[in-house]
Amino acid sequence: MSITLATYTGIGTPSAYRIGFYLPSYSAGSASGRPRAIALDETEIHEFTLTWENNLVHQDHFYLRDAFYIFCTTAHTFVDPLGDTYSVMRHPDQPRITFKLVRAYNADNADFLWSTTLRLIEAIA
Amino acid sequence: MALVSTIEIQDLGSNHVLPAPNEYEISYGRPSVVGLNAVGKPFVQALTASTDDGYEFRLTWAVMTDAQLALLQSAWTGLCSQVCRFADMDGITTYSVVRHESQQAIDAEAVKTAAGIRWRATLQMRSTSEDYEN
Repeated sequence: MSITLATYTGIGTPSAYRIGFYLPSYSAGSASGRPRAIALDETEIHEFTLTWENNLVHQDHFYLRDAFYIFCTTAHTFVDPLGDTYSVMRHPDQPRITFKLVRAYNADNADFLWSTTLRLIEAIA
Repeated sequence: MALVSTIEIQDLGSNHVLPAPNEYEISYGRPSVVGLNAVGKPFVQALTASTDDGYEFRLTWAVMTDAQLALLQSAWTGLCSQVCRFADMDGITTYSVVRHESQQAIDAEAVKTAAGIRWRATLQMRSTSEDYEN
């Protein structure tokens, strides 16, 4: 998997990956009382959820942050773990990206790994 | 990179040295809008020039002693009234911070341990500038 950026072209594979899609549409009632669905467009739009669970090294956390900043302002190329390429932006439901680390109180302070979730949505012109 | 064993929250009066938290979160964002256009397709729009909109921190200690909790409360007092310097647990980065607006108080939960009562507490902070980014 890669997120193609000017500054970085590879981030460790997430521990979980989900992809979904929707077709822009709405449902409405009709004169007969039966609901009907109306498609606004024929192109499906993909949504992505990438989760790193204690497997993101410290430098990658900065790279992923920078990637997120770019997804906040422009659409950018994303190659998913299956090798498919999409143009994506940050998901509307994720205005910030949060990184978490957990350590046992008696653990040594050796190399640590981050966890985070990144949500993206496909940008279609 | 290794973690340091303490963090520091320094106000104008004193420097509060606390043990590194057991749980640590940092979040980043950039002012922008992602919306749907008239036919349901998403679009993205930057709201300002390319600067981040600040860091947010959430630190949780699982088993604080009475003395450590007192230190945290003292640091909290400073965070409520002035900009403080936060030395992060990577041992390198410092930030200018204030308390996070979503946290109104330090709530400490008593935890029974073999060594006696300890305290679980969470602190949320927000950066006020990015002057100290690593």
